[in-house]
Amino acid sequence: MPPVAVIALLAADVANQIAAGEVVERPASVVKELVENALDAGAETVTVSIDGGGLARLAVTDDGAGMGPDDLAMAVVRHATSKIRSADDLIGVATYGFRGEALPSIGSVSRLRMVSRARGALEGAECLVEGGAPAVVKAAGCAVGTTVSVEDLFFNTPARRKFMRTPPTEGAACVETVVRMALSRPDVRFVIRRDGKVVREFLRHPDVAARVREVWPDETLADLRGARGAVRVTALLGAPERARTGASHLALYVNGRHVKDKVLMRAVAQAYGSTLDAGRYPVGAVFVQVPPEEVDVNVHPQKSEVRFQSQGQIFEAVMTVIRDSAANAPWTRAVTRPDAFWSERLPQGPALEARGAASTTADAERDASPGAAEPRPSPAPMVPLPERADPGALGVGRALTAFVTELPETEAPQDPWGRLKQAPYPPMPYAEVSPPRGGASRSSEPVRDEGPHAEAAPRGDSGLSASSTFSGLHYVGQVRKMYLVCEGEGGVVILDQHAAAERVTFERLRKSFAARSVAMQPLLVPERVELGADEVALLEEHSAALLRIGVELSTLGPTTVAVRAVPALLTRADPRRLVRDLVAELSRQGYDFSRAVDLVLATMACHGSLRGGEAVADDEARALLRALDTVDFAGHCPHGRPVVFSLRWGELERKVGR
Amino acid sequence: MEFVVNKREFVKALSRVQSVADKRSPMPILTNVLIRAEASGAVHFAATDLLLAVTGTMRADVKKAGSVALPARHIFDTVKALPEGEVTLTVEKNFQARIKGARRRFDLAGAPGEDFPSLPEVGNVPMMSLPAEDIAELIALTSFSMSTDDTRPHLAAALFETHRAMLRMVTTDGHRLSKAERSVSGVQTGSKLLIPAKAIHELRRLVDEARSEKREDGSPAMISLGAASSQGPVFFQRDGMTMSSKLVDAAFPSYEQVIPTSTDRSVRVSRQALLEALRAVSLVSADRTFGVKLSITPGRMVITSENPEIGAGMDEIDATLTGPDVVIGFNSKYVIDVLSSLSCDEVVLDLSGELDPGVVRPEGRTDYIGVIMPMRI
Repeated sequence: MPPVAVIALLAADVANQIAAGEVVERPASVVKELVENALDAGAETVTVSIDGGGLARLAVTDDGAGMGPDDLAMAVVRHATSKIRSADDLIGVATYGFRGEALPSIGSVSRLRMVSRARGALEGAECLVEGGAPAVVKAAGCAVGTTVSVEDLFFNTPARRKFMRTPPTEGAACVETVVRMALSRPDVRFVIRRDGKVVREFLRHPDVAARVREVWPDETLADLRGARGAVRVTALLGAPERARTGASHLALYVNGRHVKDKVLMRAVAQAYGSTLDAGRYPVGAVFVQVPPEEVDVNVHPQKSEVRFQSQGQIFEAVMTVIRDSAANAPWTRAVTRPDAFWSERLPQGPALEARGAASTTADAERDASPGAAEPRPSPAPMVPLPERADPGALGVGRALTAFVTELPETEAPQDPWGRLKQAPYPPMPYAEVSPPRGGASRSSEPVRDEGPHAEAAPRGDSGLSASSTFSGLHYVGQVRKMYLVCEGEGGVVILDQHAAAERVTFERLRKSFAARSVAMQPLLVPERVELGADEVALLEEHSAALLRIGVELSTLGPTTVAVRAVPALLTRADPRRLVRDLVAELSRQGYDFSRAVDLVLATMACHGSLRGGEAVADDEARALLRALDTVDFAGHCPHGRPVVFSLRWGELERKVGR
Repeated sequence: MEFVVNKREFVKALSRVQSVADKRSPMPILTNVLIRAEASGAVHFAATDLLLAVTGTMRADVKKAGSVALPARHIFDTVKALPEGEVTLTVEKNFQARIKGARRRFDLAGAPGEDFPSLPEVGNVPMMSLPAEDIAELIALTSFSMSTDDTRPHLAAALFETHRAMLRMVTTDGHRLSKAERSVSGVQTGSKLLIPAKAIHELRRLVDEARSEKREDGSPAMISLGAASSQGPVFFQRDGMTMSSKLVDAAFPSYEQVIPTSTDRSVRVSRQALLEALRAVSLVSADRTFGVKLSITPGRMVITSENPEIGAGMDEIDATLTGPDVVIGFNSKYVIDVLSSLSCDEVVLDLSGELDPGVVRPEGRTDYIGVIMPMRI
């Protein structure tokens, strides 16, 4: 008979090591905890040093409130925290950390050294913890604030150490972690050193937009803001053609906390509609503010997951704010180089003024954060430019201002709120396409004075319809049998003929698809699909709507449906995939069936359109320009590639040295 | 390694294998053709993409035995570009190959032949011999209804069944099904092989080559077929060439269940007339759905299609109807595929309701049927 096990409380160091397994996964998680503590201490500058991938040494220095000797000793005791006092405080947590697990956990698997001096205290104190041994505290001289250094991470847990990647990989993850946190805290200066060298530095800014642009200096990011009820959304996002596969360059924040939330990711992708391929996400950051009681952050020890009380509402808010204000985004219209691009390459002319303006802004920012190091010159693509401040100088008509410049002055980030709320809703695919009318128009040009398209046409304060832009261009000719060259008031405009034609065909197909009863192709062999019980219920609930778009399903069991017919347009698609996509669509709020059909329509549009390499008659080209005016997102083909490139007279003149 | 051979022989041998080499493979060795010369005078060629493998043999004046792997596209293109006549291939140190014809020559960087993956060998797999002509017909009658969707491997394949003296091929893409049979001698009982579409296309090449070669004794060209097990690989052989393929490891739909056993009505029409009418009328069918309507009354069949954006089309052909009138919609492409693969004068459409599967078969024959699901237009 085996000896009876006696139940006993775990020794504190064992419990800490177990907790460390959850909180301290790799150096980057240590960095996260330490930077959060620094921010919670009210730091204005946070310096992170990463040596040997963070495995050799990690240090985080802040100029925050600091701690006295007693606090230091207490800080490394498990579940000791200054941040909450009772369970009630968990609702509406305003600080990053609160579990009181981080420091003792880190201390149990490394050599932890904390040096701190509270503001107003005469001298600082030092606290050493090695492998979870009791803390040793002694007096030490230091500046106000706290430095926490972690050496030889996992020196006493070889199993964990073995799972670490190479120092460069771990180091990169640490930098990434700091960048993610820096994105949401423009009020704090961040300095990241790696193996002794400063690799990134972010200055203090009054607005989050400046910080986001500092992080992605090469991207043209649109500043999209709005509110739906109590949910406020601020998004800085790149153009669809710059989207990356996977969401690694899309940073999401809920109440300032970085999260990896699939619902929010989907909301962002959904807002871009057909211009994004499935699985691709734009570059940039989205900040969502919700009332604290609406969100539960205590789901995961690393707090990267959150739960919303009303997920659908948050999804809708994020999706609609981005979608609606994206109509005015710099990249929904012509693609132009940011002026910084030219100012870096062209030594003379207005470019110098542009640079001057940029450095003035930078100076002001530096003044605002005393003690900041000399800022590195950054391209600052979105700095307001002289041309934009005076569109008259360019000879650009108001309508074309909205068209050729990447950011009309009226939409400068300084005043985004009031205006963007009035931004018209661009039509949703399907949901808002005009209901079926008797016979579809025979004209190849969609009817313009009907339906939401016409309402969506006027954009911006200019009061001019954006639709006058393309047909207002003077068509000059075709080059390389690929591009249509036009003269506009503001400059030369070059269209990719295939992409432009594709965009027009796509819109036409989409309308005619929505306006007719859908041809259905029943299956010879019904396809069984295994789903969750809730998903089957969802499909049953919407079976009438599904039938209307050409999908016939029957329920075979609580978790099984059979696909009996598919839309004739989608005969080549895998019925199982189609149903899974439909479930995904249905489980979001609202039903628009956009993805599957859009994808097919986009493919069909691509095959059925004018191609590169075909000669275009003048009349055809002009008809294409007119047709483009009737299309939303006309600046991009359905696959998300830009249709238009424009070269402003100013750029051209600088190029030729006038 | 060194051998001398006539350029035409060399090009022919290479052309058979080079198309199988996987030119985009992440495994660089697979972009090569393996060439192995034996002292006996046999030169073997091989290429594979790991799903399919093709090997061939030619006779040459082998001066020195050895093996080398050379980039498929480049060896093929360069040998083709040599002048007519004798070609010498020499492999030197570091697997540098020199291909020389008259005064023109190319040097290609190769890899050791040992790096090439070992290919399945026929060994003692029992093979049966089938007329190439029959296999070619079966492929022509069924391959169009294989699915092109690689994510559904059980449909992107053809079922090859042997039963008593019967060879049967069945394909379906979920909307339509084709079943064709030929009675052949030399067939052993019961085997079912699910052959991937890619192998079927390669088999078609193999069969066409066999048929195009004149045989001195006038006997029909034959193809040997055998499978190591129901998991594969399956082998197809003809003179000096072997093709092997993995089999699809999935269940083919139980096709007998979807073939209607009895129908309410039967329509006999001229194959050519229906084919021409469908091709013409479907010109104005709705965007890429190719939907057409067949309205059948005693004596005639009216074919119509409509596209609100273009207009409408209509044709009428003679038909002999047994049973009540019917109006039924089809994807015209599916019907056209069947009609154009047949060669008979008249076809019979066996139909029931407008939502029930329809059958197309050659008049007076039972060795082929096409089942097509109607379209709801």
